[in-house]
Amino acid sequence: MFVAWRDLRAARGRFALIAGVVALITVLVGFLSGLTGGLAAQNVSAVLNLDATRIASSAGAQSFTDSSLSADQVAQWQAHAQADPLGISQLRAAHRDTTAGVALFGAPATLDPAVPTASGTVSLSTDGAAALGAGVGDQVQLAGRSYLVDAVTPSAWYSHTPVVWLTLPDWQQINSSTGAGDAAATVMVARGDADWSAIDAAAGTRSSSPLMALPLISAFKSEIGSLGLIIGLLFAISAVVVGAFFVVWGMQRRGDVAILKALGAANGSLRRDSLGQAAVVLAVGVGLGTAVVVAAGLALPSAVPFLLSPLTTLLPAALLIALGLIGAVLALRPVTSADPLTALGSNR
Amino acid sequence: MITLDDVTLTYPDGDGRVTALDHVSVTGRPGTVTGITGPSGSGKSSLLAVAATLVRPDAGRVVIDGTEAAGLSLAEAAHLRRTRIGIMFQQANLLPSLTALEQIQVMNQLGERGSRLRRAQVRDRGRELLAAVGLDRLADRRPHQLSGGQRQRINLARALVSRPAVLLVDEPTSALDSAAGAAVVELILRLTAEQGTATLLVTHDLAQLPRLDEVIELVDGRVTSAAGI
Repeated sequence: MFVAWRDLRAARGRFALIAGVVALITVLVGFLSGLTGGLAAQNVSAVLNLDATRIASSAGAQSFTDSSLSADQVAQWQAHAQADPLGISQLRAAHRDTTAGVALFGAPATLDPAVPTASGTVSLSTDGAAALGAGVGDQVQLAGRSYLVDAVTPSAWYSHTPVVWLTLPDWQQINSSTGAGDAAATVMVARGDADWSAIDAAAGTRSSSPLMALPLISAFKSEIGSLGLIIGLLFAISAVVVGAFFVVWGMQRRGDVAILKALGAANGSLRRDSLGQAAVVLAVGVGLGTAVVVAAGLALPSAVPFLLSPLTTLLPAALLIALGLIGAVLALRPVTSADPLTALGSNR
Repeated sequence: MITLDDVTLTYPDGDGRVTALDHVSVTGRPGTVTGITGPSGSGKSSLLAVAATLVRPDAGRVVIDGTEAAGLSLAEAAHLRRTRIGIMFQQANLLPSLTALEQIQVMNQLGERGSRLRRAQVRDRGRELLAAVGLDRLADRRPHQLSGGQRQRINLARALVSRPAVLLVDEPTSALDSAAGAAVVELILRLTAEQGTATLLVTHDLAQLPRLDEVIELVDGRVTSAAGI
């Protein structure tokens, strides 16, 4: 790193420019990752936060919207595993003059502490309470009936609507009254360990881990797929851009490298020097970009679906550094192929 | 000591090959400067490239400080250049981002980590060499802040940092005025004697030849005359 550090010091402007471009790419990737994470959380956080090992839907259902479990299916599951039925539907709720789309989660109280115990009452997730402008003690309208707000519970989202928790019988009643059918539940939420295949076969269901069940949530797959594709392309572009920078830099250094080789430089020391230089530039650029993403993420209003977590900041940063280093490795050829003979005579 | 014994070197040239060195034998003894002269295209640079282990000859032996160099691998040749051969380039070939002192210190960074000297040792050696070439007060200057003669002096100091057995000097005065050129040659002669290197000096500058210990003339890749002066 002897020459690398001094090159960095002597050509500050050039390396600041490269690090700046890397930082901008990092900001772009970080913002998209944060937005993707935020949108994903608004889609699935209620499901991911369930205390569940498996989630079972109707065998042929393409999504939770299609899933409908009968009382017999619920009984089959409860006979063989520690499982609770969960009813899921979406409708518009009203409080005074305010209406908002909400997701109804009807379940026994054993499923989640947010589920109310008394019929005729609901728990509003914080975002649901904010959307409806309602609090504890208020009455909200669900499918033409009034329900007393019993509690305001932590944030939970399902398919971009805030969750309203209610008892399973109340959910079944609303579901039936809206013409959606007489399902006992939408899915089964199971914990612990059991022979899941056998239960699925007996109950006519299809179960999977909560993570693997996420694509059954409407729009999740297409939404995350599109954003994931954009992020993937950005990663590829960043690798090419960073690699191109180092190829050009390597070509500009060929003369100096030829001198060092003529003086007896080992190829290993030249490689270490080049890769070390790339690592420093990448670390500075990615670090700067990540700092901007974190600062912006903290400053964004809560209405913006932006998830600030290691998954949306540190992971993209690590990937960018890794891809940049791969680009730098591929760009080593101008360095290793420099001909020391060109240092002799008046070739320079 | 350096010995090139019956060395032949050819290069591809279209469909055939051109002979750059034709059965050339040269010996450089410790503490002496052997001049290599001749017209353009006579093979001077090729001889230097072979002596520097940058090119492998087609035939003949190259022995540097007791090591048979002609058959070495690229890594072994690089190690030999790093430890036993000093090269003073025609252009100073200083690295633009390094100061005068760092141009010398960088030599310690070229090998594998285990082979490096301690930082203080290298700094002391660098300052000693800068003093030897009269530039100890310019240790912090970069190449663009130095004159051509000063750059050549650093070029020489860098070549001597590893206490090489052989010093190869390529046209040291070609980019200098006559006074600066004479001063650089004087320095080469003095340091060769002081450090006991076997110095081969390629030059077009006939005015410098009488000051050298021996002169070999090349024409069309062949030694046409060799004379002790």
